[in-house]
Amino acid sequence: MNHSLSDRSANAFRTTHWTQVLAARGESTEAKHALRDLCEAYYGPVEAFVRRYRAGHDDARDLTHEFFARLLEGNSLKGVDRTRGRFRTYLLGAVKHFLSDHKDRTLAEKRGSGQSPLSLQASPGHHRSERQEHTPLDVADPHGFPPDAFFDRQWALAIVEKGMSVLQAESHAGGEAQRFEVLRRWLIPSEDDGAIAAEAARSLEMSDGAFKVAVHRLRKRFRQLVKDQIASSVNGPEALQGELDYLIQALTSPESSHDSISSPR
Amino acid sequence: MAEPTSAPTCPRCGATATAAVAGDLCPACLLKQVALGTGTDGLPNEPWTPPTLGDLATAFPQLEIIELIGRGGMGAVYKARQKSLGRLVALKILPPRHAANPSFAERFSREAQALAELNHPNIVTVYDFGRAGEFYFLMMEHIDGVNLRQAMMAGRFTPRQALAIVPPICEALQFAHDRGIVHRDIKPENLLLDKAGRVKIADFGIARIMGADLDPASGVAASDAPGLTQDSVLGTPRYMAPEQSAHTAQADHRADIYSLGVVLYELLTGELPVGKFEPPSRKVHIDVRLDGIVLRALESTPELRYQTIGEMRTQVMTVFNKLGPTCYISTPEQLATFDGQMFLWHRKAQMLLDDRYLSFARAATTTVIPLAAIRDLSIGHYPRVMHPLGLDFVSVTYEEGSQTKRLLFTPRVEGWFVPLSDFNRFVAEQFNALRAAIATATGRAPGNTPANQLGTPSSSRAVLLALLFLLIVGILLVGMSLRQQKVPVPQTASPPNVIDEPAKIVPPPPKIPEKPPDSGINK
Repeated sequence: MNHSLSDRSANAFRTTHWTQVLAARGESTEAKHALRDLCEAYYGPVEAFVRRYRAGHDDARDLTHEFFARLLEGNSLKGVDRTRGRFRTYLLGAVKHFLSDHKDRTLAEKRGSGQSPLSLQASPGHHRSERQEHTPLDVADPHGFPPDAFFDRQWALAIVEKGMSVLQAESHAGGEAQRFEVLRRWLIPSEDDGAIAAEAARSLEMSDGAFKVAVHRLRKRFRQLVKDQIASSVNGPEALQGELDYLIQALTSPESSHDSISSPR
Repeated sequence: MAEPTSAPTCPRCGATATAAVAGDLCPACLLKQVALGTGTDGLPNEPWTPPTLGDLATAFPQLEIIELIGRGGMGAVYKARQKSLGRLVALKILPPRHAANPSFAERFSREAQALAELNHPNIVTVYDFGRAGEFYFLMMEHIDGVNLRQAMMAGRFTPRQALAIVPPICEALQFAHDRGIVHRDIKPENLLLDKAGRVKIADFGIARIMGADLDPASGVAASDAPGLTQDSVLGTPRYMAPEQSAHTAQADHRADIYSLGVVLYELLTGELPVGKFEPPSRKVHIDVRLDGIVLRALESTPELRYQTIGEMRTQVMTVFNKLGPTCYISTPEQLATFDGQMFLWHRKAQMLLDDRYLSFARAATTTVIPLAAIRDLSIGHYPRVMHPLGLDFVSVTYEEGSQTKRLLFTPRVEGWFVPLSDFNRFVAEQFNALRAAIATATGRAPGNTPANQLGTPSSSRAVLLALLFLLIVGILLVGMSLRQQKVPVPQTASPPNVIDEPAKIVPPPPKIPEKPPDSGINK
């Protein structure tokens, strides 16, 4: 991640962008910028979703690009309900809408070929996991969409990844790259790491106390980054805790049980 | 973007590990960490919002509420001025978590009454308690200072500083334990240091009032925190004794001993003793004897810990200052036996005398005698068989429970050979120092019994027999060695026992060559 991008992301965390976007219905320049930032932050989950939907095709990247381009220039926010709103839900709905549209268009172009665009064969050289190769068979959605749980999981992962990369970028900017590489392990506390912690502290030439403080600060900063990130995608701070709990659920519930279920939205 | 793979699951939470997102860290665990918030870093996660100054001013017209000075899981503390007396007080408002529970009011007043009776210089005094409007409150002495956590954050304690604050804490805890009150939440946040450097224990028994120790049968939920934050709210797990976190109802005063052990460990090393931890002396340069003290306090089985906090105090004092000399201690009963007379020198103990206690710390046991319990202090003589010229000891008669006990001690004098007069003078010095200390502590001098009325046991018959035996063996050996010499004995020679010893030639002490005065290096 380059420096300017990390700066922009750090800014993006501070304001609750989704609230801003909703308030202006995407009309104001400010709201447009906010939406751009949001889209940039969640490009990954959308691309993963499209990729899975279009398994066997090479057009996932192009489709994702097109989707965001339309989202940003269009007036797609007109119909958004201001009261119940999470950017996550909105974006998923928008992607599905876009993909069905796209499917209709493709079918129209092929005009009666009767051939489904879905293929069960993996194209060689295209990196996908084994699970993904099989999923099209499991999907129960009438439109052939991957389950929502898949998207939510990708979303949660994107948030963690973003938090980590900003944290890393900040450490690098502060000239503490090496320290971060050692400290990051302690973002998750564990019971039995007393001796390893002492060793790590020594390797950084820090006192045990200073090490503890450094870990505490890093954790605190990470919490802040993640919370800000989530806050920017929900409508109002009170929804933050709920969304956080939901995302933990999305990551911890066994994926297989979700894969075969597609909840109608 | 990372794709989920059929990678191994996280050993901690069971979620599918997704390596590419956060390196080797489990993303689910990372998010959980975010959800747990600062609670996992030792700060309680408090869903309750303390009342505003305005709310309190209405409820407490007799007080001028100045500011919110602290908040935690057990309530919020405000600095206030009592209008009538003009004094500063600390007003603790308990979170209304249990206020709706009918048994809470009853428990609150019962516990608070007990707290109000805890009058000790090292315990924050409770002036008043009750309910004002919707608030359950405790009005307490205001301490102008910082808590131990803040003090530790400001700078690391030297081992000496750390040890200095432990004895008063022990005294205060012993005082409370004697009255059947257990603190249950000893941690740096509850140990206050005032401007004069005095340490005061705050929040005595609050844990009990707040029902953190309620048994499940009473049906009071421990916490009303939502969802994932639940396990981080209650108490201060890192300072809690194992039996306290497992079966809170069973925890007794030894839980406080454990918690104080954690505090001491943290004071010395800057770390918490978590999991398999190292003795403090491996981490910092301190007296290894402290390891024993800390590790004993931190025993997970209460029976293996110090059984009283006073015992721990004495041990800490032993390391902290070597006030008293090493002593040989015994009792009249022991001294009446062969073993007691022959092997007195095996029962060494470190004597400690301070303004409240006379203690003798031995490897396994510690005798703590409150100065106020000493009834008689006298000098006596050991049986002649132990020292033919009469060696003195100090006899301490004291009351313990309903029993009267007596302990005899003799200070050890350093050096290979000490004239008897010097030795007994040293005993007399100890005697006088102790007498003065008792007079200062209690305002009266203890009784004194003359040596001939002390009823010192006579020489044990077994010892006499042993000595007789040794004498005979000695004579036989001397006789044999004389015969082996086979030196022709001149007729005129005097018997061997009257031969004048040749005068010892004492070599003059080696002279240290004096340095010429100008040999120093100019600086």
